[in-house]
Amino acid sequence: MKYYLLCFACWIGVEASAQEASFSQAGVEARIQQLQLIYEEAVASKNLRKIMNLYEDDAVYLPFQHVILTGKNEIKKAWDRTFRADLLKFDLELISAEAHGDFIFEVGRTHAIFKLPNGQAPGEFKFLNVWRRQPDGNYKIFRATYNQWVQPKSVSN
Amino acid sequence: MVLHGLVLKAQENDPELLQIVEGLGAKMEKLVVAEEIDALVDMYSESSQYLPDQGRIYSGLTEIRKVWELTFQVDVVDFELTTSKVGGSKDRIYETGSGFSKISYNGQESVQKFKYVNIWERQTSGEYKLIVDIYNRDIPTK
Repeated sequence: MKYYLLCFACWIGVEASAQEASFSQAGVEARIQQLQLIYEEAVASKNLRKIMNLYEDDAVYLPFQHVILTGKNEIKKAWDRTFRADLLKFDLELISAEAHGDFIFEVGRTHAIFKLPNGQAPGEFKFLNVWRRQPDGNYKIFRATYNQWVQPKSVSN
Repeated sequence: MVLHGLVLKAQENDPELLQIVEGLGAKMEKLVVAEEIDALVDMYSESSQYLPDQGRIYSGLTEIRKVWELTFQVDVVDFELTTSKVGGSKDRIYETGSGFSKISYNGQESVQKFKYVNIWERQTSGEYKLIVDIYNRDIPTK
Protein backbone atom coordinates (compact mmCIF):
# COMPACT_ATOMS: atom_id res chain seq x y z
CA MET A 1 0.00 0.00 0.00
CA LYS A 2 2.78 2.44 0.95
CA TYR A 3 4.54 1.58 -2.32
CA TYR A 4 1.43 2.48 -4.36
CA LEU A 5 0.92 5.70 -2.43
CA LEU A 6 4.54 6.65 -3.09
CA CYS A 7 4.12 5.96 -6.83
CA PHE A 8 0.95 8.03 -6.90
CA ALA A 9 2.67 10.92 -5.09
CA CYS A 10 5.59 10.78 -7.56
CA TRP A 11 3.18 10.77 -10.50
CA ILE A 12 1.36 13.83 -9.11
CA GLY A 13 4.69 15.59 -8.71
CA VAL A 14 5.69 14.86 -12.30
CA GLU A 15 2.32 16.03 -13.60
CA ALA A 16 2.54 19.25 -11.56
CA SER A 17 6.05 19.92 -12.90
CA ALA A 18 4.91 19.31 -16.45
CA GLN A 19 2.06 21.77 -16.01
CA GLU A 20 4.37 24.36 -14.48
CA ALA A 21 6.92 23.94 -17.30
CA SER A 22 4.21 24.51 -19.88
CA PHE A 23 3.35 27.79 -18.14
CA SER A 24 6.80 29.29 -18.43
CA GLN A 25 6.61 32.40 -20.61
CA ALA A 26 8.55 30.64 -23.34
CA GLY A 27 6.13 27.72 -23.12
CA VAL A 28 3.12 30.02 -23.31
CA GLU A 29 4.47 31.82 -26.36
CA ALA A 30 5.39 28.56 -28.07
CA ARG A 31 1.88 27.25 -27.46
CA ILE A 32 0.29 30.37 -28.88
CA GLN A 33 2.57 30.34 -31.90
CA GLN A 34 1.50 26.74 -32.58
CA LEU A 35 -2.13 27.80 -32.40
CA GLN A 36 -1.42 30.76 -34.67
CA LEU A 37 -0.01 28.41 -37.30
CA ILE A 38 -3.16 26.31 -37.21
CA TYR A 39 -5.26 29.48 -37.42
CA GLU A 40 -3.27 30.84 -40.38
CA GLU A 41 -3.51 27.54 -42.23
CA ALA A 42 -7.23 27.30 -41.63
CA VAL A 43 -7.79 30.80 -43.00
CA ALA A 44 -5.42 30.35 -45.96
CA SER A 45 -7.22 27.15 -46.98
CA LYS A 46 -10.68 28.58 -46.11
CA ASN A 47 -11.22 25.48 -44.00
CA LEU A 48 -14.35 26.22 -42.00
CA ARG A 49 -14.17 23.01 -40.02
CA LYS A 50 -10.58 23.68 -38.99
CA ILE A 51 -11.23 27.25 -37.93
CA MET A 52 -14.36 26.33 -36.01
CA ASN A 53 -12.42 23.61 -34.22
CA LEU A 54 -10.41 26.40 -32.60
CA TYR A 55 -13.48 27.78 -30.82
CA GLU A 56 -15.27 26.60 -27.70
CA ASP A 57 -18.92 25.70 -28.17
CA ASP A 58 -20.04 28.82 -26.31
CA ALA A 59 -17.25 31.11 -27.43
CA VAL A 60 -17.97 34.79 -27.87
CA TYR A 61 -16.65 36.54 -30.97
CA LEU A 62 -16.78 40.30 -31.41
CA PRO A 63 -15.88 40.96 -35.05
CA PHE A 64 -15.23 44.42 -36.36
CA GLN A 65 -18.33 46.24 -37.63
CA HIS A 66 -20.69 43.50 -36.54
CA VAL A 67 -22.77 42.54 -33.51
CA ILE A 68 -21.52 40.26 -30.73
CA LEU A 69 -21.68 36.61 -31.79
CA THR A 70 -22.18 33.85 -29.26
CA GLY A 71 -21.75 30.17 -29.95
CA LYS A 72 -20.39 28.18 -32.84
CA ASN A 73 -23.45 28.48 -35.07
CA GLU A 74 -23.26 32.26 -35.16
CA ILE A 75 -19.46 32.34 -35.35
CA LYS A 76 -19.46 29.84 -38.22
CA LYS A 77 -21.77 32.10 -40.26
CA ALA A 78 -19.37 35.01 -39.73
CA TRP A 79 -16.38 33.00 -40.91
CA ASP A 80 -18.35 31.70 -43.87
CA ARG A 81 -18.90 35.33 -44.91
CA THR A 82 -15.22 36.15 -44.29
CA PHE A 83 -14.16 33.28 -46.53
CA ARG A 84 -16.05 34.79 -49.44
CA ALA A 85 -13.26 37.37 -49.65
CA ASP A 86 -10.10 36.45 -51.50
CA LEU A 87 -7.16 36.60 -49.15
CA LEU A 88 -3.70 36.72 -50.69
CA LYS A 89 -2.01 36.91 -47.30
CA PHE A 90 -3.05 36.29 -43.69
CA ASP A 91 -0.24 36.41 -41.16
CA LEU A 92 -0.54 36.63 -37.41
CA GLU A 93 2.10 38.40 -35.35
CA LEU A 94 2.30 37.72 -31.63
CA ILE A 95 2.73 40.89 -29.58
CA SER A 96 2.15 39.47 -26.11
CA ALA A 97 0.77 36.37 -24.44
CA GLU A 98 0.09 35.75 -20.79
CA ALA A 99 -1.16 32.69 -18.96
CA HIS A 100 -3.24 32.68 -15.81
CA GLY A 101 -4.87 29.52 -14.56
CA ASP A 102 -6.67 27.83 -17.43
CA PHE A 103 -6.55 30.94 -19.62
CA ILE A 104 -4.01 32.45 -21.97
CA PHE A 105 -4.66 35.83 -23.50
CA GLU A 106 -2.97 36.71 -26.76
CA VAL A 107 -2.55 40.21 -28.16
CA GLY A 108 -1.38 40.40 -31.73
CA ARG A 109 -1.45 41.95 -35.16
CA THR A 110 -2.90 40.58 -38.36
CA HIS A 111 -1.23 41.38 -41.66
CA ALA A 112 -3.60 40.60 -44.50
CA ILE A 113 -3.82 41.38 -48.20
CA PHE A 114 -7.19 41.16 -49.92
CA LYS A 115 -7.57 40.50 -53.62
CA LEU A 116 -9.89 43.00 -55.29
CA PRO A 117 -11.39 42.96 -58.79
CA ASN A 118 -8.99 45.70 -59.83
CA GLY A 119 -5.96 44.91 -57.67
CA GLN A 120 -5.33 44.27 -54.01
CA ALA A 121 -5.63 46.06 -50.69
CA PRO A 122 -3.85 45.61 -47.36
CA GLY A 123 -5.74 44.86 -44.17
CA GLU A 124 -3.99 45.60 -40.92
CA PHE A 125 -5.71 44.64 -37.70
CA LYS A 126 -4.97 44.15 -34.04
CA PHE A 127 -6.65 41.48 -31.97
CA LEU A 128 -7.21 39.87 -28.61
CA ASN A 129 -7.81 36.14 -28.28
CA VAL A 130 -8.50 34.58 -24.92
CA TRP A 131 -7.79 30.86 -25.01
CA ARG A 132 -9.06 28.41 -22.40
CA ARG A 133 -7.53 25.04 -21.62
CA GLN A 134 -9.90 22.17 -22.30
CA PRO A 135 -10.15 18.90 -20.34
CA ASP A 136 -7.95 17.19 -22.97
CA GLY A 137 -5.20 19.79 -22.43
CA ASN A 138 -5.74 21.57 -25.74
CA TYR A 139 -6.70 25.25 -25.89
CA LYS A 140 -9.74 26.70 -27.57
CA ILE A 141 -10.88 30.27 -28.09
CA PHE A 142 -13.09 31.52 -25.28
CA ARG A 143 -13.28 35.15 -26.41
CA ALA A 144 -11.99 36.83 -29.58
CA THR A 145 -12.15 40.30 -30.99
CA TYR A 146 -10.25 42.55 -33.36
CA ASN A 147 -10.26 46.04 -34.84
CA GLN A 148 -8.37 48.05 -37.41
CA TRP A 149 -4.75 48.94 -36.98
CA VAL A 150 -4.22 52.55 -37.89
CA GLN A 151 -0.88 54.21 -37.27
CA PRO A 152 -1.91 57.63 -35.92
CA LYS A 153 0.10 60.71 -36.69
CA SER A 154 -0.54 62.50 -33.42
CA VAL A 155 0.24 60.01 -30.60
CA SER A 156 3.99 59.61 -30.37
CA ASN A 157 5.69 56.23 -30.13
CA MET B 1 -6.12 9.20 -12.31
CA VAL B 2 -8.96 11.01 -10.55
CA LEU B 3 -7.07 14.30 -10.63
CA HIS B 4 -5.72 13.94 -14.15
CA GLY B 5 -7.87 15.88 -16.65
CA LEU B 6 -9.75 17.58 -13.89
CA VAL B 7 -10.02 21.18 -15.12
CA LEU B 8 -11.77 23.60 -12.92
CA LYS B 9 -14.00 25.55 -15.29
CA ALA B 10 -14.90 28.88 -13.83
CA GLN B 11 -18.60 29.43 -13.79
CA GLU B 12 -19.59 31.83 -16.56
CA ASN B 13 -21.58 34.87 -15.56
CA ASP B 14 -20.84 34.24 -11.94
CA PRO B 15 -23.00 36.80 -10.06
CA GLU B 16 -20.08 37.93 -7.91
CA LEU B 17 -17.83 38.59 -10.93
CA LEU B 18 -20.72 40.35 -12.66
CA GLN B 19 -21.21 42.64 -9.69
CA ILE B 20 -17.50 43.47 -9.62
CA VAL B 21 -17.29 44.46 -13.29
CA GLU B 22 -20.59 46.32 -13.25
CA GLY B 23 -19.21 48.41 -10.42
CA LEU B 24 -16.02 49.05 -12.36
CA GLY B 25 -18.03 49.93 -15.45
CA ALA B 26 -20.18 52.39 -13.54
CA LYS B 27 -17.04 54.04 -12.20
CA MET B 28 -15.52 54.28 -15.69
CA GLU B 29 -18.72 55.80 -17.11
CA LYS B 30 -18.62 58.63 -14.57
CA LEU B 31 -14.92 59.29 -15.05
CA VAL B 32 -15.19 59.44 -18.84
CA VAL B 33 -18.10 61.91 -18.79
CA ALA B 34 -16.37 64.00 -16.13
CA GLU B 35 -13.09 63.76 -18.10
CA GLU B 36 -11.27 62.86 -14.91
CA ILE B 37 -8.22 61.62 -16.70
CA ASP B 38 -6.02 60.91 -13.65
CA ALA B 39 -8.61 58.65 -12.06
CA LEU B 40 -9.42 57.08 -15.43
CA VAL B 41 -5.79 56.21 -16.18
CA ASP B 42 -5.54 54.86 -12.64
CA MET B 43 -8.02 52.17 -13.67
CA TYR B 44 -5.31 50.67 -15.89
CA SER B 45 -2.37 48.63 -14.65
CA GLU B 46 1.14 49.90 -15.36
CA SER B 47 1.76 47.30 -18.05
CA SER B 48 -1.73 47.37 -19.51
CA GLN B 49 -2.47 47.31 -23.22
CA TYR B 50 -5.15 49.49 -24.78
CA LEU B 51 -6.34 48.61 -28.29
CA PRO B 52 -8.81 51.32 -29.34
CA ASP B 53 -10.53 51.13 -32.68
CA GLN B 54 -8.69 53.04 -35.42
CA GLY B 55 -5.38 53.14 -33.58
CA ARG B 56 -2.43 50.97 -32.74
CA ILE B 57 -1.60 49.02 -29.56
CA TYR B 58 -0.83 51.37 -26.69
CA SER B 59 1.19 49.96 -23.81
CA GLY B 60 1.65 51.45 -20.39
CA LEU B 61 0.12 54.39 -18.61
CA THR B 62 1.98 57.18 -20.42
CA GLU B 63 0.73 56.07 -23.83
CA ILE B 64 -2.77 55.29 -22.56
CA ARG B 65 -3.03 58.73 -20.96
CA LYS B 66 -2.14 60.38 -24.28
CA VAL B 67 -4.87 58.43 -26.07
CA TRP B 68 -7.49 59.48 -23.54
CA GLU B 69 -6.27 63.10 -23.74
CA LEU B 70 -6.88 62.95 -27.49
CA THR B 71 -10.29 61.38 -26.91
CA PHE B 72 -11.23 64.29 -24.67
CA GLN B 73 -10.53 66.79 -27.42
CA VAL B 74 -14.20 66.24 -28.15
CA ASP B 75 -16.87 66.64 -25.51
CA VAL B 76 -18.10 63.24 -24.31
CA VAL B 77 -21.61 64.06 -23.11
CA ASP B 78 -22.60 60.50 -22.36
CA PHE B 79 -20.83 57.17 -22.05
CA GLU B 80 -22.47 53.90 -21.17
CA LEU B 81 -21.20 50.36 -20.74
CA THR B 82 -23.34 47.24 -20.50
CA THR B 83 -21.70 43.99 -19.49
CA SER B 84 -23.01 40.98 -21.39
CA LYS B 85 -20.76 38.18 -20.14
CA VAL B 86 -18.09 37.58 -17.53
CA GLY B 87 -15.78 34.64 -17.10
CA GLY B 88 -12.56 33.74 -15.35
CA SER B 89 -12.00 34.02 -11.64
CA LYS B 90 -11.83 36.69 -8.95
CA ASP B 91 -8.13 37.14 -9.75
CA ARG B 92 -8.66 37.76 -13.44
CA ILE B 93 -12.03 38.61 -14.97
CA TYR B 94 -12.79 38.48 -18.71
CA GLU B 95 -15.61 40.85 -19.50
CA THR B 96 -17.45 41.31 -22.79
CA GLY B 97 -20.00 44.01 -23.31
CA SER B 98 -21.39 46.73 -25.45
CA GLY B 99 -21.78 50.44 -25.05
CA PHE B 100 -22.09 53.80 -26.64
CA SER B 101 -20.50 57.19 -26.42
CA LYS B 102 -22.30 60.38 -27.28
CA ILE B 103 -19.97 63.15 -28.33
CA SER B 104 -20.47 66.79 -29.08
CA TYR B 105 -18.17 68.51 -31.55
CA ASN B 106 -18.69 71.86 -33.24
CA GLY B 107 -22.26 71.98 -31.97
CA GLN B 108 -23.14 68.60 -33.43
CA GLU B 109 -23.85 65.46 -31.44
CA SER B 110 -23.23 61.94 -32.62
CA VAL B 111 -23.55 58.52 -31.06
CA GLN B 112 -21.03 55.78 -31.55
CA LYS B 113 -21.99 52.25 -30.57
CA PHE B 114 -19.24 49.82 -29.75
CA LYS B 115 -18.53 46.46 -28.17
CA TYR B 116 -15.57 45.54 -26.04
CA VAL B 117 -13.52 42.98 -24.17
CA ASN B 118 -11.88 44.00 -20.91
CA ILE B 119 -9.51 41.90 -18.87
CA TRP B 120 -9.47 42.95 -15.23
CA GLU B 121 -6.80 41.80 -12.81
CA ARG B 122 -7.10 41.93 -9.03
CA GLN B 123 -4.13 43.76 -7.55
CA THR B 124 -2.43 42.96 -4.24
CA SER B 125 -4.40 45.89 -2.80
CA GLY B 126 -7.63 44.08 -3.70
CA GLU B 127 -8.68 46.64 -6.29
CA TYR B 128 -9.10 45.71 -9.94
CA LYS B 129 -7.23 47.23 -12.85
CA LEU B 130 -7.48 46.78 -16.58
CA ILE B 131 -4.67 44.82 -18.15
CA VAL B 132 -6.25 44.69 -21.62
CA ASP B 133 -8.92 47.00 -23.04
CA ILE B 134 -10.09 46.55 -26.64
CA TYR B 135 -13.19 47.76 -28.43
CA ASN B 136 -14.56 48.03 -31.94
CA ARG B 137 -17.54 49.57 -33.67
CA ASP B 138 -20.78 47.73 -34.28
CA ILE B 139 -21.59 49.27 -37.63
CA PRO B 140 -19.88 51.88 -39.78
CA THR B 141 -20.14 55.41 -38.40
CA LYS B 142 -22.53 57.58 -40.37
